[in-house]
Amino acid sequence: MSTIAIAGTPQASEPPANVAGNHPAGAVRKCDTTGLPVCKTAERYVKLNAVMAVVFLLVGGVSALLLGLTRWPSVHLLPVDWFYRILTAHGLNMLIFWIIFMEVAILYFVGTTLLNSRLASKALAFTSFAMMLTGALLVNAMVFTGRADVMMTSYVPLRAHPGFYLGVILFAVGTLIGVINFFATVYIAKRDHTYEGSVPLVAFGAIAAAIIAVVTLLHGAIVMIPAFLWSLDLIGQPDAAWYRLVWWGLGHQSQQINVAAMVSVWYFLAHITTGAKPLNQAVCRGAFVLYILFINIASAHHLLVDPGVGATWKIWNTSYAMYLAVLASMIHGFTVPASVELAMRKKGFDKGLFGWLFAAPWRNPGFSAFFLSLVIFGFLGGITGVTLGTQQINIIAHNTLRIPGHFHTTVVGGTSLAFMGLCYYVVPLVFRREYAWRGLVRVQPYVFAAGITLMALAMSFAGSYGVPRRHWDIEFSGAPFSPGFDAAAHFMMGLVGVGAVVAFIGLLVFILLTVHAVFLGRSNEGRAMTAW
Amino acid sequence: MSEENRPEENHKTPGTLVLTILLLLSFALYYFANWKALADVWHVR
Amino acid sequence: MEERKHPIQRLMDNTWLLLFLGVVLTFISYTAWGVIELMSLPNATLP
Repeated sequence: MSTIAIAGTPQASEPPANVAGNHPAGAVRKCDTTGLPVCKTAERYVKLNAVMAVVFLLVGGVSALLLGLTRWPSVHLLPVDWFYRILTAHGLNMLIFWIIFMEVAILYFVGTTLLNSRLASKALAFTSFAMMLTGALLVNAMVFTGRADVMMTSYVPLRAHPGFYLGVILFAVGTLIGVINFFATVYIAKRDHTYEGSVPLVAFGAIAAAIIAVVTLLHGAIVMIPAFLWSLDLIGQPDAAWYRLVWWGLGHQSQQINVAAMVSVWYFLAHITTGAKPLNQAVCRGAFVLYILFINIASAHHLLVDPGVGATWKIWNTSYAMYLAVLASMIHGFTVPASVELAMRKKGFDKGLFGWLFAAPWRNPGFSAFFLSLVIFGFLGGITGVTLGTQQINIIAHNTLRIPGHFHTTVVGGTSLAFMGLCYYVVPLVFRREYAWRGLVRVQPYVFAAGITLMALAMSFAGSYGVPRRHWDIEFSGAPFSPGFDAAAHFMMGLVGVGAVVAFIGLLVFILLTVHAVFLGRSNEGRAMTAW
Repeated sequence: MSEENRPEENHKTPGTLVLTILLLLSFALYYFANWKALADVWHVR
Repeated sequence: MEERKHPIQRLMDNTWLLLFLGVVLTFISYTAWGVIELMSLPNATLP
């Protein structure tokens, strides 16, 4: 197999066992850059899911800007009802629709290209996409028309229009069908011997993400179907404590799909941008197994101040067993940069402790997005996450802005940024279109990372002063008492606003560049992508 | 274990090791500060 | 001849067993145990 050796250009590292794969005639093409097989059916659905991901990212991003400008005390943009409406939209579009559409695209790509297999079912892919899109549109319609001001969590007894719950159910079942299609693809690839030995590491990470997705979506079905029936007055109100418990099996675990998918993307981007190879396959895979077994129980963090569940349940689920998943993150957090260090040293960048890091391809947006994602996720997200998840400490942080401060470093600075880096390869390789304004593309990951880091740190500090999360007005205007927040808290809330604006600019630049590339970009069909 | 799963020779990654130690120190500091903050508001007699 | 695999490698190559364990462990440790705790709460009495 011929490969093209251009720095920053991905190359297929190992030829598949059965080179022909199991593709029907005419249903596969060879990637002009990597030489890897691309299933045309999967390619179509990778494109559709990725485009919808970016559309919902835009909706969530505009919502984020409005929220940032409302929590910035001297701006305080939105009226109270629209604040909570937009907050509901922001959570659902960002944490669910953007991320999960993107993840389904990743699953189809990994299942077919990396395993050299055809997609198991075109009909399932269509059904999945149609249900997910209908569900996401229905939820947005309900939220923006003011019929679902229940926040992302939709805790009972808050009650939304039945269309809201139906939309979530459609989206969840649609995703589950997509995941089943992925598993069916894994099955037929193994049956038809399209690869040799174990699946590639990136595919293994995607399998881990898909398993976590199954657990997540089952919880979604268990909690949302009764809520839907209740909204139709067919059954009584579900128990509030039960609802919170099972809802977080959906709400938090969906973020664990992100973690597994993001780590897979780290391995992928590290490989294609620097040629890094995992230091030890068994250790990296073992870490993914720890995710599969233990990461989901972290949902219990959200119930650490709930009186209904006991201390043993809380401490087991958020500390003892959960630390095995933290161990997995620490393994990935070590092996990914270590593999980059090793690859760079082998290339001759061997000077001192950090010569390899300074010489890394920082102008390649795939690399900068991946490495910044790794640093933000590990240093800010990991440290705050483990600390806030400690039962005793949680009591001084629960429901303060420290919590959004934490998860904006994991799911935004971590996952979203890594996915942006992935797009800088997906568009040239799958859509076969080149990005224009490449200087701007190179700067984008830095702008976004700087904005989100500033915002998340400011949120964390403001939370330390007691500023609550999900709150329209910390001045309590018109109330007979004043909460008396420190001047420093107000300053931090100003920084939250500034950070949100900077991050939004980074996000908007990403969306405009990507939409331009997809629809108007120069085609690279028949030749390798232009190296970053 | 197959060939590809065997660890490669020469696994010296001192830079990453320093980064990792930095992470652990940051965590220790942040974790301690939080326990201290908790102790300041929650007096145990 | 096929090389003998380490049991952990065999587990890692068995997608379906991993799927089963991932679902079951979460449901036991988080969901079922949590629901049992909630169901065993005594009803609050009026003061």
